[in-house]
Amino acid sequence: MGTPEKNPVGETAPAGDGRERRTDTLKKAWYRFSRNKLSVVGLAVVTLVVLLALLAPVVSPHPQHASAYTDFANSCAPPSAEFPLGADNMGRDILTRVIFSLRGALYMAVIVLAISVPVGSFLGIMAGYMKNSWVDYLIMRVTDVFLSVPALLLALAVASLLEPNLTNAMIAVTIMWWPWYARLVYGMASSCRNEYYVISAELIGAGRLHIIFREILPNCLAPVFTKMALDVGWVILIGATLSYVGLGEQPPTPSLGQMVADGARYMPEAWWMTIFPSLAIVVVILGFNFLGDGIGDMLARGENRHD
Amino acid sequence: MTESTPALLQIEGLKLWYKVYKNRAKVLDGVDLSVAPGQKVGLVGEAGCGKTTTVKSVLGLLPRGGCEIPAGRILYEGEDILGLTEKELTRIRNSQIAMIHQEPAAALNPVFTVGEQMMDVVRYSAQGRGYGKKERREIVLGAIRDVLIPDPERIFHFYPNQLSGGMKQRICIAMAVMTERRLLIADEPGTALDVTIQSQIHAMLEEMVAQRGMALVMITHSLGVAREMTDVINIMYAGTIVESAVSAEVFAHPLHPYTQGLMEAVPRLRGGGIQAGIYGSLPDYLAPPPGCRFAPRCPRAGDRCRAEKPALADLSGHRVACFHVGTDGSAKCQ
Amino acid sequence: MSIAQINSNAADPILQIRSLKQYFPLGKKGGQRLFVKAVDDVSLDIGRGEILGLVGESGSGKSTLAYSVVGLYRPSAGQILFEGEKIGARRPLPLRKDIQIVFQDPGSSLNPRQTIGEILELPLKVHFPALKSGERQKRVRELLQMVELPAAYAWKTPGAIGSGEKQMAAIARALAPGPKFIILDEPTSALDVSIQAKIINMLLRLRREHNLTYLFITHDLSLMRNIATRVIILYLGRVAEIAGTEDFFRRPTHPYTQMLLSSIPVLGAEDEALKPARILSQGEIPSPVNLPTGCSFHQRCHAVLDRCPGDDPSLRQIGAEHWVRCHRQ
Repeated sequence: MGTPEKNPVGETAPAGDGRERRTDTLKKAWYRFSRNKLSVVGLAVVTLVVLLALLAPVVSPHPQHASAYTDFANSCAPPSAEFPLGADNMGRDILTRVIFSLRGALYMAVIVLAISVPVGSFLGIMAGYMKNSWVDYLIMRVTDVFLSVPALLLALAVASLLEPNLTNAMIAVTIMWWPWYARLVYGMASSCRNEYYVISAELIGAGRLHIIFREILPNCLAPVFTKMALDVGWVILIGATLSYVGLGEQPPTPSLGQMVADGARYMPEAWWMTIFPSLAIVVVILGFNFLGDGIGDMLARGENRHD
Repeated sequence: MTESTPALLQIEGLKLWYKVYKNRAKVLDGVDLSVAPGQKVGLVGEAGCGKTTTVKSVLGLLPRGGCEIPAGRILYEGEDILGLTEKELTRIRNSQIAMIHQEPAAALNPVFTVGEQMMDVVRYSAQGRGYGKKERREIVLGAIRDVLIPDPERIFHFYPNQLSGGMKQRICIAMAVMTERRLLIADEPGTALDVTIQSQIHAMLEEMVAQRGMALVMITHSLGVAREMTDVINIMYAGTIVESAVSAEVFAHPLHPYTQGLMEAVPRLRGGGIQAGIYGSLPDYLAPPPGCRFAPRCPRAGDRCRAEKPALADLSGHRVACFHVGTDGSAKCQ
Repeated sequence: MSIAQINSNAADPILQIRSLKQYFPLGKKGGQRLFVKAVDDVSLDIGRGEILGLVGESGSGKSTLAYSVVGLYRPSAGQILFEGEKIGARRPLPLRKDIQIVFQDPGSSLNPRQTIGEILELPLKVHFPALKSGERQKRVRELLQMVELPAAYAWKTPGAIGSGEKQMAAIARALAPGPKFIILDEPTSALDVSIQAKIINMLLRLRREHNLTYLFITHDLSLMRNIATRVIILYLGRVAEIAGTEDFFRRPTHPYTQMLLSSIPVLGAEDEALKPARILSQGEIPSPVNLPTGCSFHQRCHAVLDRCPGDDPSLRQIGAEHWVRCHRQ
């Protein structure tokens, strides 16, 4: 007792059937999420970013500027009504290019996480379930090797070995990303496997697949979801870094990192070329971080409810 | 009995609600409790009945934004604690009241040695401010010796994880009583320990309190422990005191149906099997019963019990909150 | 001690434990391999239909013994026989079906991410694969009824019900395969007495209705007084005293038993009279890594003899079913 979330509401079961409880659970989840106002800000930013990316051709002022377009008359034009965030050295609208670069950034984040989360989680749960067996040692030592190399360095090395383009950048980032999930799920799974409900299932004689996927996995997912939301931001940052050094998306397709890099040569006169793409990176990452924290609050409280 | 001696601690009609999602968990529903100087008072009830919440509210340990107190007073030496500022409250905590928790492992900080933690307690107590380091150390060593731990010099440099559960609880007791306090609140001090260790701890606690003339509020879920340790027993159910009397009287003539059910449920050494216990479980604090909170589980509950909350009526010293108990102390409607 | 000695009581033993040792390696110190001797040479028989109370403090090895019986550990030495057949740690399904366990902490023994219905279906799926989904649902409702829970609880998650109700659900899960023998590992020690009473009465009824045998692990001697047929006291992995319940409480003989009994807080003078005079325990239970020489209890014993520190006593028979490990006559 003591904190409002854990007050002694005690022995009695709430009334009502399953469906009522489900909507109630959703409402409570939103309550826990929205108690921190930053989480709501994060959700708003992320929603806006996703919508902008999806509707880029419709919402951006100069959709044709998103590719190899040149208009030297407006080269390095400062922010104006026509170019709200200014124009770059080719005379292209920065706002348009920022909006379009969100597409590549989100695409990369989704693909990277869609591969690295299942792979990492699967390896982690296997190692955690078979703790202290050769499977555990093999998986976790390989994971450790990947984790011991600085992540960015690894991605740079892989990306520079391959032909520089978006696909290879995604491969590079995926290779450095899965070990974090393996570690996370490994920790969860190896403590979860000693819980009495897992032991009970083993004693009953349930199969391994049942134990791993029905008993252990659902109890490991909460922090994975939290980390995923946080990681979208970090994947976008790494993607921007790779494209900053020319190992990501190739021109003329816009990417945030490359825009920052290009703009740096025109600093400080045409500051808008660098500052606005940089701000976009910051806002996107903060948005996903706030969202991740909110999801964490929501799921963590949900977990504790049975105490 | 309480009229003759002025109370050290007097809780009157305390109500406390926790804020939860769009609602209030109405945990305490009019708690009355009185502790005279030097008296040993038991607060007995099952998990979730509000025992810990009650004493936390005395110490001001509840989250300020997380709960509200719609009614009631907590008088310490006649002064209402609820009206005090954080600073004034700290003064009372530092000079008047000490507390022992159920989990000694959680009460001690694992990164400081036993000695360091105890020295801090002396340093921040009202009386310890004037002492130098050497004097503080002497007090601490004496306190460790008092709780029957041999070789206090060695224990002084131990980290909590080097001690067994029983030893940790001894240290917690030493910490609680080594500076002058008038009231000790012990929240299930032996529950986490084995029964032989528990009896050591209880015996020692009793001795400490008697030596120092402290008043004791003993929170426990065990009627047996309360019987051995306390002068007056308060039986608590779902945020209300349902029965309160001198220990021997409660055990000889339990009046409230809850007390009776609780006593029947305790397995006896003489045998005789296990009685049925009490039907049902604690009410939902979000929507507690409007009348007597025990009514839904009470074998004797009538329409009046379900509609109206019985007050704690005084039957020549034995106080009970039940409509079915007559003024002569006999239970009606058997 | 010979095996025959311990056989005395049970005409039809369902479970026999023979010189069971359960050591856990702790690494090396000074060239010597260190072990936690959690269970050290325990032999006992459990008769069909018995409620055997296994009593001890933390560190006595009572849970380890239970886990060895259900097959969580491979015994370091000794044997476990179920209905006369030797059983190891790896077990075929029929044997798993016969022996079930209910754990102490109902909070951790039910998966928080499953409904009670799903939890109860698992043993049915594993042990009765021929059952169709509808029959399984029906069986789940029957199980809930057996433990006095409403059928609607099949849709609830453990987080939504009280801890007593969780323990009832855990008991229902243990009943699902149709066992003959259930180990109850402190099933009520985390619960309030009023709920304990309800669960104990339910367990007694289930035993009658389904011809069950219980190994009831607990630290609560008063509870054993009321339900056990025999009581065993375990101290540091060894049997200190074992006797039929009546005899056990009429003449508790081992000094440790007396100390345990005298430490129980009781409710009235009548019970007080049944306790030995107050024996304040000396010190605490030693670590099972560094066992004291001689009798492992001698450092805490209030009736220690000269020979105790050097000479380890063996179990000695002092009554029809009454054995004690102590030098004192």
